[in-house]
Amino acid sequence: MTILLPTDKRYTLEQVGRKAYNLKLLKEAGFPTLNGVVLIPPLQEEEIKKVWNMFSAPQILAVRSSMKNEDGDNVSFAGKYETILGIRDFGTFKKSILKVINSSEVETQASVLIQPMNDNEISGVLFTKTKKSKNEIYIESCYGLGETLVSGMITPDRFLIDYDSLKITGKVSEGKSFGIFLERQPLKEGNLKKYSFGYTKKVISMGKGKFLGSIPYQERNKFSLNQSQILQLCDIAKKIESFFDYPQDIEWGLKGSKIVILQTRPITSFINLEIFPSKKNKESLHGIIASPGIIQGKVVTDFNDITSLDDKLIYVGYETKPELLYHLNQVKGIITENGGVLCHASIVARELNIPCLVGVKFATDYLKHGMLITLDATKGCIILGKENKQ
Amino acid sequence: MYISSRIQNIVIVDFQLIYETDSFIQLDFYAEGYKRVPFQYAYPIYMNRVSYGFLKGKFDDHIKHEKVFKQYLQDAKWVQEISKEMVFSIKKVHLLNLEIERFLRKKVIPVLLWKQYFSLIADMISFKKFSDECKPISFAKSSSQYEKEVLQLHFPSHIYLFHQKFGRLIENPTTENMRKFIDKYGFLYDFNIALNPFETIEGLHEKIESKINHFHLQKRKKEINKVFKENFAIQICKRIAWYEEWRHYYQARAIRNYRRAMEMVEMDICRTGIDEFHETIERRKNSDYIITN
Repeated sequence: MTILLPTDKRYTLEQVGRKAYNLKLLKEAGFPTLNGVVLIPPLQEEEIKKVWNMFSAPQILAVRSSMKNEDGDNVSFAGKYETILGIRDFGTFKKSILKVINSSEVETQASVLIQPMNDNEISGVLFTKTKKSKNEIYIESCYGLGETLVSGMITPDRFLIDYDSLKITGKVSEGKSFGIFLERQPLKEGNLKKYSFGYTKKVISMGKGKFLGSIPYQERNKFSLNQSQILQLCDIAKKIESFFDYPQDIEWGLKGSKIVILQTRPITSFINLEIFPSKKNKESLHGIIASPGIIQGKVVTDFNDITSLDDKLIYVGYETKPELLYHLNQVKGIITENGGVLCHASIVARELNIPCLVGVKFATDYLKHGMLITLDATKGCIILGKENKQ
Repeated sequence: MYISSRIQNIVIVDFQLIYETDSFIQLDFYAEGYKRVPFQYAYPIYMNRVSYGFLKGKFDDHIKHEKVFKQYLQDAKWVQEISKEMVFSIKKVHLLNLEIERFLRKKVIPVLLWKQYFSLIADMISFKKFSDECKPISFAKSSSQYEKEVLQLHFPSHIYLFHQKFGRLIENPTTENMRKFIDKYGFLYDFNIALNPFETIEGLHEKIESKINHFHLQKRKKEINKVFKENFAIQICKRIAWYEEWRHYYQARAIRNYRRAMEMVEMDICRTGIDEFHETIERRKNSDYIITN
């Protein structure tokens, strides 16, 4: 059976699944979302062909699951069922539909949502609440399509916004060196493509109508969203939350100044979030000894945020920056993720007789500004939060 | 570092993915340098620059070259020769820098000289792959002894040099000294082409008057070289470390020189790549010299 969003009046939540149903509701209520088609098995070949012809060429489609038990109030099964993006030809379209249906354990639970892909210049997710008791909106954003964000290929920009005042209470950008973008017209490797945020350079085709684009320095270190875009997103998100009368996990895309809501579902587990989320705790980290010695001190990653000039500081970074030496009356140890015994950090540390470890993987993820650590560059390890007993 | 597709038989290096710099020219330095690596073992080049900082070639050729390069790295004789050429490449850039800067002071851009300048800088950077991948420890008789000796080595550091000279400027901050600092060391602050605070008189005043106590750098430790004179592994290690520091110094200085040249002919200093720079100065040349206002 074929059902058209949002105009078809025949279908119910039980027939089409929460994903498609929510999108239908959003569309009817006037929220900016994409049209689509829902297919419910059993399906005939002619039906699939008819649906393919509904979308005007040249089309790039997304085929997603919209299962009956998916995206419920208590459980979401996020990521469990298939999603196939960047479909350009009928053969792939047909296979994708079957793949999505087969990803369901029970065929009667399966329905398939088909939508045109949007040329997102910026994508992201938004939580209308971070904790049940706290009024905060949380946004993550990246350049291009959202798959780099959800797959963890990049660290997105992160924003915390006060729910009532819509004031930005926290934001972090760690640099976005690439994105994945939709490729409607074929580009050669090395060609530039202009977007509203600036340029990207096509590096390589990713297949399925997408390319990997590198981001120039000027755009990389800017926040991907400006104040006005954040306010627009929050405004729409609050209305969606009010519409469903429950906090929402929203996937969105931005092209120019137009926001598109790709998906919305109830938040099933509230995140206990810090603006600098830390990965699992590690008691000790290891690296290459570049300059021997032992020192206990506070981690410094941002020299603009030094609270006391008396503290012994241990610089932690991907690599050394020139401003490090400006603070060397306080910096008593150096830890870098990159480099070997002949890199700048090593050379400077040995010049100054201060302990140094290089090649410490994930140092910048685990070691946060202000943390107390012991740098033991005789054994090549870093100990978190413990005093050196030697 | 590479992005490749076996199916499409292509390999790509986009230095924009690797480096944080606001300058297309800086990315072109790396790209052209990397492209010239096969010359070090007398092979033809297999990658082409198709955009700023962007190289493209065949995947099959790339695999072949990687294999050849690794084999050469095991050859002590080749390593000895290349390490010498690596050091000389710095000296060549140093000498041409003096000419380039002499002409810049006279507000003249000799077209052929600037093309030679880019070529020498690219040659200098082409040794980066060698310095990254060569493991001098593989030539050491005792790896534990080598590790002990390496930790005792001291090398010039361009960051250290920057701060040492800034410390001296703080002691005697006359306008003339500030101009000298800007000319010789200000560009070492970062690898961006845009002016940094240490390259303007106003910026220097602000930094000097800053409330943070400046760290008075100790006299640099002298290089201990006599003990290791006969030790091949340490000799190579020293050449690599020396090259790495001075490569950074001359790269930063070259970026500064390109900025001055681009400003003279009113080009976008950040978004002008080397091809556009050469085309522009070529187009505007008047009997081999560009005379500016």
